[in-house]
Amino acid sequence: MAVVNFKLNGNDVTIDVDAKERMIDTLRKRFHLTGAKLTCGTGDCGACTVLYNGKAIRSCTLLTCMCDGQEIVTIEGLMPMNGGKLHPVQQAFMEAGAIQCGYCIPGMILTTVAFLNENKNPTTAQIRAAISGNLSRCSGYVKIIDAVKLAAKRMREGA
Amino acid sequence: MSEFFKPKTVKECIDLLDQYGSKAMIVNGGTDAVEKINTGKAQPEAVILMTEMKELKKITVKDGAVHVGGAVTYLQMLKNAEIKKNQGMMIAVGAIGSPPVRVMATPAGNVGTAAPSADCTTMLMGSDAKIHVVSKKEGERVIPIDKFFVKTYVNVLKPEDLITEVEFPAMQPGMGSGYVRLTRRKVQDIGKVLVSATIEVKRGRCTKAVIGLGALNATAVRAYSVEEALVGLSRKEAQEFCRSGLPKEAGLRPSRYTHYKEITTPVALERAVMMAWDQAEGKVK
Ligand SMILES: Cc1cc2nc3c(=O)[nH]c(=O)nc-3n(C[C@H](O)[C@H](O)[C@H](O)COP(=O)(O)OP(=O)(O)OC[C@H]3O[C@@H](n4cnc5c(N)ncnc54)[C@H](O)[C@@H]3O)c2cc1C
Ligand code: FES
Repeated sequence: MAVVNFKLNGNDVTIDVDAKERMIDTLRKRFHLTGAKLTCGTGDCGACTVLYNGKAIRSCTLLTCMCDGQEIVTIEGLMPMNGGKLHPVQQAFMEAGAIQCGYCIPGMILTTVAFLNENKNPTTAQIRAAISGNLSRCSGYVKIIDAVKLAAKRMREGA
Repeated sequence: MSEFFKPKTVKECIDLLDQYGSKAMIVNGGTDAVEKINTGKAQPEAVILMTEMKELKKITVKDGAVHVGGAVTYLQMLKNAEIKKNQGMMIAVGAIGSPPVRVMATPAGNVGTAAPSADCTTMLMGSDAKIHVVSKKEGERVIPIDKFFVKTYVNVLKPEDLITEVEFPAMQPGMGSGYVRLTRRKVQDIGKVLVSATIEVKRGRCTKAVIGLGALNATAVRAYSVEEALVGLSRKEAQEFCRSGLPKEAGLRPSRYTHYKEITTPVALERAVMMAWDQAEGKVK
């Protein structure tokens, strides 16, 4: 077993895991954080997306031990880390009607958060490229793109 | 049960690799390795992480060559001023997976996996790259990329080896590079035909060409026959030559894509070479 220390949604945590354990399993089974979904398990679909030191990545191709000394944020952490208010990206996804079944949304939102932190005023093409690794099977993406634009506007205005 | 290690220096890392041998596995960005571990194809007792290997996280230029450290990610490459001068490399690296994959994944891991359809590997093949490797027993070795792969998913690395850097020539005036990948989907799809080219042009004639082909043969390969034929040709002659047929190094394997690959590879070759040509003549920034 191996002791791993990391920051999870703003809190310091310590766990004892096999070095082969994946972060998606640690989050869901040990911390009961089920926002990240294990779906393809191969890095393709984006349903397991988390923020790793502020960047959106796949938690199904991430060993938990790779997070030793690093910072992980899941969808559950966004609101508490935003002073108890919905993050502007979450708010925009609701208002734009971007959510249908909701399955892909934690991944979509975290990908958008990381993207808008780097690019405050993205073009439609840049938005499409940014979410190209997050698959949605019911939305058709149009309203998701609207939501990203709305969130970008709100964040520029300092929401 | 497995342990993990976070060596801070090359020496620490190769000592660990030497100690654990085939029971160790380097996990860099983990985008290939974690699935292997999860499906039980790899069962390392010691997982060696690159997270603290600061000395391998640098991109430097020395004596006309770009040196990409063994723990440098694609995201780092895409933001690097020197890499940005290399049109083909930017296209190849920018096409790998999706943005979240490129945050973690590395060129060292790409050559480490040795997939025949690997994009960065194919561009490195068409850049005359060299892989720098070190182990405790054998010390440092520099392996030309066309001597690096043995067969599909097998390279010359031994369990004790660490890739410290990937090296390729820096772009100079009169030099250009191109990369063409044919896929079924626009993003997140493994290429069916990959062609990379780095060429030099003087007074309208090709003076040097390096061509790489991927996803055709058991490993990415260098197309020496094309390289030799291109030297001395004008743009138009080069274009005609590329279109004239399948390079003999393609070594197409029978599959349901064989016919598609046969007819599209010459076109992809033409596009990659023309892209490189235009950069060499200063027609692209
Ligand atoms: C969703 C998805 C899409 C993808 N799309 C593409 C694509 O379009 N094109 C493409 O080419 N690839 C693609 N890949 C494959 C993968 O991302 C690349 O091969 C990547 O470059 C691997 O790098 P890594 O750092 O993640 O390697 P890892 O998974 O960490 O390691 C891969 C192998 O290399 C070895 N290794 C790593 N670093 C070193 C080192 N420094 N010294 C010695 N050995 C080392 C490891 O031990 C392991 O055997 C995709 C992967 C995913 C998950
Ligand atoms: S479950 Fe991780 S990308 Fe699909």
